[in-house]
Amino acid sequence: MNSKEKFINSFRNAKLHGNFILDLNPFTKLNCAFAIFLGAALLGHYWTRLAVIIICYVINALSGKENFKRFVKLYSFVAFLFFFFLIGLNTCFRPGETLYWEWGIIGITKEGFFYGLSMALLINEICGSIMSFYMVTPMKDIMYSVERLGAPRAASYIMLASMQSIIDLGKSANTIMESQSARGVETSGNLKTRAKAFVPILFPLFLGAIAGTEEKTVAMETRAFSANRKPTHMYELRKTPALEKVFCVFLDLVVIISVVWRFLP
Amino acid sequence: MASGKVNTKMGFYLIPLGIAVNFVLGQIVTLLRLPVYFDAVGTMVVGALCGPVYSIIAALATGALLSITSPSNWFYMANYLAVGITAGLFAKWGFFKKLPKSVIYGIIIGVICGVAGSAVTVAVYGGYTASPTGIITGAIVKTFHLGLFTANTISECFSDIIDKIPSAIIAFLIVKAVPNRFLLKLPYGNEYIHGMNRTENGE
Amino acid sequence: MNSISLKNIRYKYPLTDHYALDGVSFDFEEGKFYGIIGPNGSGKSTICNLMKGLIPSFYLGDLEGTVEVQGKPVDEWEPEKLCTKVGYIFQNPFTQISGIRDTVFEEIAIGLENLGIDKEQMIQKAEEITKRIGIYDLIEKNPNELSGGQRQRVAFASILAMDTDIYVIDEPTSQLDPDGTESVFKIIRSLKEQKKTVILVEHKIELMAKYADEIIVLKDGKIIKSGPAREVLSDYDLVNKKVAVPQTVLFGHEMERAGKSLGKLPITIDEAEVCVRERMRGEQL
Repeated sequence: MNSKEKFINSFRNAKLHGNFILDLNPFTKLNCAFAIFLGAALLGHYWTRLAVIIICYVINALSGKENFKRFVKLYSFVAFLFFFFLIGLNTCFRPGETLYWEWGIIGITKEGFFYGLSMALLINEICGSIMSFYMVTPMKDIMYSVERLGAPRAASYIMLASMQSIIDLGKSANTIMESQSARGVETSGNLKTRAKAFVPILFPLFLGAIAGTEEKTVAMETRAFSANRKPTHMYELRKTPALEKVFCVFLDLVVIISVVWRFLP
Repeated sequence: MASGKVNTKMGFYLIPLGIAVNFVLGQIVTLLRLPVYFDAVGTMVVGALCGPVYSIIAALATGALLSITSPSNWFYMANYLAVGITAGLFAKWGFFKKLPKSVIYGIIIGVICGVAGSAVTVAVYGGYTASPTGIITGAIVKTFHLGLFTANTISECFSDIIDKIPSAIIAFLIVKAVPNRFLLKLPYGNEYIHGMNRTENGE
Repeated sequence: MNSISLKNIRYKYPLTDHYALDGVSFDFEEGKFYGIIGPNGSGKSTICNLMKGLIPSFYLGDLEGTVEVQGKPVDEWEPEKLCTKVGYIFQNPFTQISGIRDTVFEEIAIGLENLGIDKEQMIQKAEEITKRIGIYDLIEKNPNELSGGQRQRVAFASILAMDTDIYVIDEPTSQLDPDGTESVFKIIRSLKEQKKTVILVEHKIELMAKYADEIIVLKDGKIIKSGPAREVLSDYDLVNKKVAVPQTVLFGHEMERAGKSLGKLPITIDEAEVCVRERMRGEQL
């Protein structure tokens, strides 16, 4: 079978990404992400939060080189900002007993520092989990699972079409901006100049897009988007293996028990 | 047979465009280094032209998508929801028909977002978010000896009003520029039809 | 039974004063290929919108008269049923791509998914269509990254997959380059070979002349002439009314005027070639 035939045939069965992490059911991944970040958030120790951050890196690494690079790039930048500002601001401004140094309105305190550290770890582990979830779960898969649960086609349409519209509108915007600067509209300089550059981009951009929306409505209606029946799916994911479900339940129980234990007198 | 049916199909397909506008404008203003976010203009336009249900969907979807690269947005979903609900409601009350009213809407939603955002900042972050505005908050706290919530409300209202007033103005201008033939096909479009005296049949 | 019947249609778009269609009646028979020509603003697109059931539900406005699809008035059809009877392809290749699928193969299947067709059938249908239309080598590509001509072919495939009886095609090549145009017309030719009911609006009159069984000429919202393609296009009256006719027809008319009749008025280049050759050999058909 040549590659095209293989491609077509791949739709006959559940579509597999070929990677263990990517093939997990989206709801499994959602469950795990929640369990992990909530658990670490509520348990409050530095090391559980740090562990979650490390787990995020590991999961992304396991999900493929491309993915991992993307995650590292996006997350590391965000994480750095959080560490920098949260530790910095809390150290300088949060009141505390052990004052190390003072200058004007800034008062460096030990309590402030540790508060900042704890907060930074918390925010980073939550954001890491959320971002990891999105990285290892393509929107296509999420929407398929959601539709399978009974959500209307409209929901999938909105999410997926928006993602494409963002790309398309971005391209139009670039084209318009290039033609504007070719015509001599300044895009650097003081605030007023930059603000003035903004307006002539806006109207052609939006009005072109709205005309497209009318046509898109007609085109989609022609393809039976208003149909009331239950749609079938060309792209299907596999049935969740029992093992995954068991693992989710197990993980949830571990987290619940740990949290309850911590809060017991 | 004359037809007066209100069309809702095009409104639905406008939502992805509104979401895209939220994103792309946000990117443009970052590129032009303007001190605003402009991530709600699309929501406001959808609200103005289609009403609350549509703008709520647009706002929530925008928040969910923005969270992919900026997960902390999930904490502020209440803000997105606020813009979504108010944009549609205020549109229903006619606030996008005249410029001054749009400005008033901008102020109101700016304050709402400032307060809601501040509540989140205090509840989730303990008062200092991971951005330079935290310095302003800290300065306010130390200089005026105000509580964290108050300080945050002041600084966030400040930056939100600066963002939302121009956003509302731009949404107003966009709505004004939409040609009649599209307005007719949108749920609230009839409110904005130009070139006619407001009589029964628009004759 | 007629595929589509228009009875005494008078229609005004909302907020306009003039009638876009003013007293149009026509019966489109099953299995025939109809061409609609006319100057801009004559109502061609309006007729397409009518046949697709978009007027007045989407476009609003004042409609008098009835539109019947396979004997039933168009507003009595359920929209999803109507989709399986009347397919619609129009100019803009960019807006006809849904944007929610990342391979051409899945894109084509969208209509079938919405109709609840079973998966094996969908796969077979999509495969067959892509081979028939000649986009088999595009099936793995992302439809959002294709050229205009490729997208238009994918749009055709998406509608053809729904296996409708009637195809309303509104200026499918106006935004395409010559290669794109060529490939789209190949698809249209295959529709004709399958004896589908096709209603094509086109400015490229030479191409229309090749495929149309019957031609309708619209001007100012009225049908000013209709009938078999040859008859309509040969009518010199049309030239006076400023309706575009094939160059070969104009050529034929000029030859007549110069007293060097070609015998018949050629409506396609191939015919013209044959006529001229015969003439030069001194024979008349």
